[in-house]
Amino acid sequence: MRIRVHLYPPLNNAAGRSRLEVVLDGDEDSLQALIDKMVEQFGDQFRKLLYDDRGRIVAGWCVFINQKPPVYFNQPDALATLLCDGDEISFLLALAGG
Amino acid sequence: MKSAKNCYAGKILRIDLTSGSINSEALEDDLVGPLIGGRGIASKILYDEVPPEIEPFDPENLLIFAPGALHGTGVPAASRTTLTCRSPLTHMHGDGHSGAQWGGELKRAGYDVLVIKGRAQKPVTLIIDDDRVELADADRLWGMLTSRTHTALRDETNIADLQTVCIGPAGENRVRLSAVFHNGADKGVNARCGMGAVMGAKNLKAIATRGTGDIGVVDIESLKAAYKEYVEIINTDPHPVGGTRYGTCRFMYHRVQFGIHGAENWNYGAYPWEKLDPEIFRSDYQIKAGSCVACPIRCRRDYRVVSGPFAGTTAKVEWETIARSLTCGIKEPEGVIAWANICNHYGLDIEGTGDTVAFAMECFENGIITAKDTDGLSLRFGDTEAFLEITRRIAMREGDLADTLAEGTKRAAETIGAGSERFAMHVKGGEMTAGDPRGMPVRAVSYATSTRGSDHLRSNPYIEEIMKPEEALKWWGSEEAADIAKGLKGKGRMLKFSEDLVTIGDILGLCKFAFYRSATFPWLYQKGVTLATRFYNACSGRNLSEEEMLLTGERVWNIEKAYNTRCGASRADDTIPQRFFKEALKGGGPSGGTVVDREKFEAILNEYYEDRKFDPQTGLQTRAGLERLGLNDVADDLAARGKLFGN
Repeated sequence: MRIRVHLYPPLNNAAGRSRLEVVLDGDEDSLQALIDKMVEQFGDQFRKLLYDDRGRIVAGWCVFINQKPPVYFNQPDALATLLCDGDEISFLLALAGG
Repeated sequence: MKSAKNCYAGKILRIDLTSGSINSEALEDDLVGPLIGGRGIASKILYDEVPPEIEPFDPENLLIFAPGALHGTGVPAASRTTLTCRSPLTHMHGDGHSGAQWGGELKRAGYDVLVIKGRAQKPVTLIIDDDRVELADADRLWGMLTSRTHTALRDETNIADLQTVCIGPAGENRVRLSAVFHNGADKGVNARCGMGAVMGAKNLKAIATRGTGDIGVVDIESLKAAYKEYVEIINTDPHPVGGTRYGTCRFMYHRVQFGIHGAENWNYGAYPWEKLDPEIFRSDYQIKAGSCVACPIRCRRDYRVVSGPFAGTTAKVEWETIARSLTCGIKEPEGVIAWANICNHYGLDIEGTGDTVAFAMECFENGIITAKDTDGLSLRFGDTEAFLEITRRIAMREGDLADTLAEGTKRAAETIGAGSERFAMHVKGGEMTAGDPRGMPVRAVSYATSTRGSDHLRSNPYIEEIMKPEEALKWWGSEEAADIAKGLKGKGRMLKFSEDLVTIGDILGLCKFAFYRSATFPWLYQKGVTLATRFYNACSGRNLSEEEMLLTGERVWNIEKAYNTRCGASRADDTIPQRFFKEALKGGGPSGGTVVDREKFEAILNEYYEDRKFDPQTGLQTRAGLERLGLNDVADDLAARGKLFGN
């Protein structure tokens, strides 16, 4: 299935682009599969921005699926969220306050 | 190797503009011990010396300049100076915090705190040149823009690195939305609470300062070790990266994705924003990326318009400049930059001014204000010409409408009447800031409990976004606190902690963005509490624990709360505009259709009061709660005034 991805800073800098399309093999792949695919494509710098030194997603990242209220990685089952063909996914570092 | 001198200059400088007297006194341990510096000491001086009988424009009101305890030491991002007075906007505790060099210069001249009272008979400038302190005639400066005032003082003194604070015409005209500017128009600003108007009421145009002394650090090796750990965190934490690339304009992406712009006077969550993309500001308008003193993150940005009617206009622009432009329906960078230029040069607070103009625009759109009132201005949302012109008029109090708006949103609504009150977006008289709270109840409560009117920098409820459930359970007693949408339990405790936390920053002079924002809670705590305490101990020679540092934040918060209570505030004032409860957020997007759930709001507020040891029914402080913090004198004062629960 094809997923449209929008990366916000600093992930977009590490990926060298803000928008991309990722093709996943399965019909019911999860958010984890999407992240694995992007880490594979964009390498170590990208991975270090997403994961802490214990291999967990940095809690401040959140994901918007089709502009709906976000999925937070501080929630336990966030990575198991299933994606559908054509989904539009945005990765945002959520902590605000400006 | 240890040095004998610590980070304190050891003196308070007191100026009485009425009599012209200039005195200094020792900075006593009874202030430094429990309050450390900056906002802490300033809040206590205000409490002790400006009772509620003294009105904001009374000569007896004080202007208290207090650099953070670490300002000037070289600690990263230790650049903040607090300015405190009784606010003419809220009639309660007021303060503003600026990142600039002036505070360090004051300390190098030999003073930790500058206290100004009285009113000069005619405009004056205060000159502090090390030991030479004097008042000088400022007739020639009166009426000047902030930028020209700084330049004139620098040229007259022939001191190239002279540090100044000054007001523009807005402050001179006692506009309650006016601010105090550091080194001209585009450096730091003590923005909130109408400080510029109090300075104007005192006929004090500027303070020109040079200090050539040293600011000591007791334990250099400990400072270095803490510095190394700080740099390691910001090199790992993804949060600072966006600030370094885009400045505070970065927050646009957060508002867009959550759909919480508050555009058109807090009506629309999702809104056309594309021309205001931080990447566009960076590529097409940016002329300078700078920083406050000693800050490695460098989030300051100056922009220039390159074509069109505003070509050549430059300004320092913060995210709040863009946010408040959207509040007025402005969607293009040229209008934002031109507006920032007017606010910065005339000496206005962008946040209060933006919301007040937005209020007027909604009144105009609804026929409460007409073209007759505006002298022909089409004061509609998105009209850039009207946006700029009404702002200039407010600064100059030019015409009846601008004169009314110069009083701030709350008073303007009271004067205009005719149902305009429902468009007045403020808390305790202080205009709204940051993002729309609908759909995020703890943020709504944080605006309500702030001790200086609505404010997003008075706490950090955003930590709900970065806490893992197990962390929330450990810290706030419930995993729910880490759930933004559904969580309730623990949110009040989390808010109380976050208020005490960021107060530490204002006491020490540390930037909120550099120390009190992170992508994980452990990093946030490590920077904001652990390293902040270690930095302070290294610079001061004291040996505070992290718990004592947090308790200092709590102590200062309680002093400000007591000040507001003494001025008449109660639980009824710890609320937000009715629009947020009753009117669904427009524009669609992830937050579209939401309101602030009143039951959740009240439940969080109750838990917050309980954790603060306040009486939940009245919001009054208790003797036990204040004495636990060593504030027996505050408890006695409140009791004598009938403002202490149970007395």
